[in-house]
Amino acid sequence: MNRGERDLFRILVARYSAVAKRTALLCGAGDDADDVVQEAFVAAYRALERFRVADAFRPWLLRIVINQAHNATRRRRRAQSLVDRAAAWPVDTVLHDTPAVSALTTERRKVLVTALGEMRPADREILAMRFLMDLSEAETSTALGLARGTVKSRTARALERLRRELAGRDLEVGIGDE
Amino acid sequence: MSDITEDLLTLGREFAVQVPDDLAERVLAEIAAPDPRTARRLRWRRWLVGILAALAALGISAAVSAPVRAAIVHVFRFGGVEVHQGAGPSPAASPSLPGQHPTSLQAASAQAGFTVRVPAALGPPDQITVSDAKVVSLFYQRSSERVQIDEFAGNSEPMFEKYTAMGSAQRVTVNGHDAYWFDDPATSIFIGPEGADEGSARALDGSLLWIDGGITFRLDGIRPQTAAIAVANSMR
Repeated sequence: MNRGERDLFRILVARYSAVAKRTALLCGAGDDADDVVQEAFVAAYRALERFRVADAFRPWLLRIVINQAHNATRRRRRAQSLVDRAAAWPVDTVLHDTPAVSALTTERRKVLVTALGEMRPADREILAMRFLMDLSEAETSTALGLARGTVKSRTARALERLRRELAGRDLEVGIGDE
Repeated sequence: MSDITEDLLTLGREFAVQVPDDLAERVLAEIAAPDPRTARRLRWRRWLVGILAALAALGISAAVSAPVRAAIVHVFRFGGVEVHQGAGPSPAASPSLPGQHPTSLQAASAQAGFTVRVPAALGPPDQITVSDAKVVSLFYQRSSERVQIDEFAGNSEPMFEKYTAMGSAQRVTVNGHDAYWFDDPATSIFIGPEGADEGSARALDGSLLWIDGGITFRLDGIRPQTAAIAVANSMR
């Protein structure tokens, strides 16, 4: 790498590091998120021969990030007890850091984040990519390595499950209030 | 209960993360570890061309020294235009786009699917056309000068290829939007579903390219650069 390439790479990292870290956290990287992002950029560099210039870079990079996040989860699973595994979904950390001004009520935010945390990882990740990360179906398909049709049907099913789950919670809250 | 997808989108937008300041340096240090396959360097270089194009399209200024830029940039894409360095195809005798036909200012927006804009500085065009690919062109005949403004939607796929000496591309702004001024003569060719359309090859001499609201605009036939930008700024 010459100096110019290093400069360009710095721009790349600056441009994509936040999106990479958000993806890593949403896909279970937990405390390893920074390491996952770093490894993902290194892995991206080493996988460049498989990247075609005509393709979009972001979903291609995110696929590497997601693979690294999954690897980190597997490593943790081997090293840690069952109880610790739940920590991978950032319920109490990042997603609960309510911004000063939020368009969501604290209660709504909490309910959503908790419900997402209780979903199967596959369902949660597809909702995370399509909505939290606001990727298109095509980008989600690349990032998660799924066929377009699968993304479509799985998103619909996951949304339906989340809706039912939230409806159930609303009911519980209603009963509790009585 | 508010719509669940809207709430998820909001949750995502408000999901802020901190990235370590030294991330890039750490990545670079790890990459700099011995790599036996030097061929990768070449691929990396070629690949950077694409990334630089993407960055340019996103309005991210690449703070790279001029020689590095010259070495790396062979092609870049801006809006619906892909710019190539070097000589392009010969211009057609009377260049035209597939299905290009005269229309009226009133009808053009409906035909194109976006609101066609007209420069207040030039007034209503002498002629306006729309093509099969929904490229709207405004024409002005000013004494010996022929001015043309092309407007088209979408920038996922390049619609035109433009050949020029890349050294002449200059970053400017139009109404606060990123724009490029090409001072040298260039050739523009329309890329249809079946590839480059030779009948569309057109010589440009001094052209301004900008994106506003998802629409790519190209103005040519007005010099100097400041005059072209003034006209572009007056698009309403």
